[in-house]
Amino acid sequence: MTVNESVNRHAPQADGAPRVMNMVQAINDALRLEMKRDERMVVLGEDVGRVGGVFRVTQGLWDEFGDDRVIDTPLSEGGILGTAIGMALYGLVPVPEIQFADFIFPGYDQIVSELAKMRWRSGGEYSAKMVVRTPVGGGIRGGLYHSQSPESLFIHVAGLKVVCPSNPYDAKGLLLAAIRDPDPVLFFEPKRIYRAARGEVPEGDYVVPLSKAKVVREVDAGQAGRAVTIIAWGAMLYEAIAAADKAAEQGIHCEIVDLRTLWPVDIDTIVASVKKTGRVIVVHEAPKTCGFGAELITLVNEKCFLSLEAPPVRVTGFDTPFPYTLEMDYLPLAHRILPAIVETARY
Amino acid sequence: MSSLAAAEGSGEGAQGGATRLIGPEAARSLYAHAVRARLLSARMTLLQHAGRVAFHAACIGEEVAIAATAMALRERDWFFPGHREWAGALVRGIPTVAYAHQAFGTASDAGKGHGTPDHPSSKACHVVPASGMIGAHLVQAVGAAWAARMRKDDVVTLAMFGTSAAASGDFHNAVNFAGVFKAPCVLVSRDHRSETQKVSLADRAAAYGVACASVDGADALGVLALVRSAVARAAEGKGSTLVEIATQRFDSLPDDWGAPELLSLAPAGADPLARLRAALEREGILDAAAHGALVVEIRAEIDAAVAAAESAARPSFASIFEDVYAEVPAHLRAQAQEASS
Repeated sequence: MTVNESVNRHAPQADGAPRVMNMVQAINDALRLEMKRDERMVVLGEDVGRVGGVFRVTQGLWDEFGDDRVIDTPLSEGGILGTAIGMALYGLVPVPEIQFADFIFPGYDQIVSELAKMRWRSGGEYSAKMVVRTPVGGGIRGGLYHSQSPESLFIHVAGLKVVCPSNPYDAKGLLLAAIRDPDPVLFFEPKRIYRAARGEVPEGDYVVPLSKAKVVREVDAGQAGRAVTIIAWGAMLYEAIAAADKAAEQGIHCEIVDLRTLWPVDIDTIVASVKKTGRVIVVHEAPKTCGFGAELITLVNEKCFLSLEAPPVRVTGFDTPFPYTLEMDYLPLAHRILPAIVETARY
Repeated sequence: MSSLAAAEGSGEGAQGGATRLIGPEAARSLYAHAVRARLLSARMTLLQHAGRVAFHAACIGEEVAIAATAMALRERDWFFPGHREWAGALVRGIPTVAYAHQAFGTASDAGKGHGTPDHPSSKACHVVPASGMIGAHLVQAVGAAWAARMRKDDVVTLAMFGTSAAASGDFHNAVNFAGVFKAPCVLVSRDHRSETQKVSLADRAAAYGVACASVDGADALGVLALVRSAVARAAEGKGSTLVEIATQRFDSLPDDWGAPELLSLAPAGADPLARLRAALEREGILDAAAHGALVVEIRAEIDAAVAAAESAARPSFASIFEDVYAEVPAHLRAQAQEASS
């Protein structure tokens, strides 16, 4: 997979010189940096210590910070998340890892009923700030229990923030912002591009602010008349870019918005783009029905209906479990996005 | 287990009696807490029947065990109650009037009317807000204890729960994690053995490598002594303890919460509150006159608290949108504005 230059270009705002990293290295770098900076921070989860996590994202942390702060837990997501909530109540800053997002459901009650509601149910006296890190998405031959994208199930729960980076620079900066945020954050790491997405990452401290989308490809005023806005995040951003490259060969220009933070969503950036292009496509891996695309398109309809030149379109996973053998048929890859772009542009 | 074994089965008044165990002042205080819980629970039950509050988790018959458990904690320790252990939150220092504001969901409620009755909380008192999900708090108490140990704080956490919570997955997670990490946590069960729980907590605790001790919930001073030793054991770094208190709830109450028999429920000798009173009278800590004055004082306190809460303002409309996040985000500001325009 090639990573579009525009995704990885960034302003030189951090204090260290950049070096090329993949997503795993960038997230590891953020964890290490914050553990050094904030002694309250702990990492816990299944095999996050000696092994360094199933994807090696926490590799080396146990050697550096010891087993008081990098904790191998029993295999129980409810136990991991419940104890993390207790730690957060007490004043630590836990960053639990759930080995696959598919495995989060045994701990879903602790997230929905406890984590998301702790501040509200105490009138603001108590809170349980933490970042729950977990790999999402398909494309690694993981089958139905190692491939899902459950972001909507968390966006629908009041009190949570949801982040999904698409590149190493954003992954590090968003993770640092998420850990320092006062609210609980679900940090979804697109596992298909853990190592494939590479880019320059500054050595030192910097944050990418939450709830700020990034326009990774912009159309100019001259192209706007027959342009399409594509909203994507995580691994599917690269599929959107690949499809847009093909569409450009047919004279159709795409403005591509990388949401980065899914919730609370940066609706202003979306609306500004759709007002410019008049057309919008949302791409996500999760099933179509009640997927986040449904909410995004409703928001577009509410806020800039009269700017639309064509019906909004969703290119998504199917309303089925995630298949093992036919995963590349399930995923909304570039070859499925391209016809949607052409049809929308010609509507 | 040795310090626990010494307290276990110690019988009425923990052998040495209230005076020796906690001193006369604390013994009177324990009794006052239990009377307050009894009278308040009776009053709240009537208020619920009258439709003036939506919900009440009555604890009549168990209030002595709950109060004694909460009293066993030190000021710096943390209390994780279930919804039926609200009386423990009062023991920890939440005023009766604050309890009433929470129960009535008024503008003066610290929780801004967000929660249902019997879920009072206070950071100053180290009382965590109870959850509606039975058992969910147990594993959190283990996590908080673990955090305290990591911070090298001399703090113990205590979670209280009823028999039904012991069937939850979170109970398993709590005891398993507590055993693995030797968290300074005490898990206290109000246990009325039922058809849905065939195996004793002691047998289950043994399987997790966690200490367990049992005590008769009618023996207030025995409960206090046992939980206190479990707290001390946790503080000494010896790990978690499950405490199993055999309790009984009285569901049949006089219609009048002012009736004297409310403080000595039938059958004679079965009511833990009356037993505690008798023990204190035997030791000369309490006499009839002091008892009468105490009851009058607590009734007045409850009357004033309920009156204050019933006449208090409702929370503002805007409070629905507060505390969802640290700051009210744009989409919630928009929803609030849309609804009020």
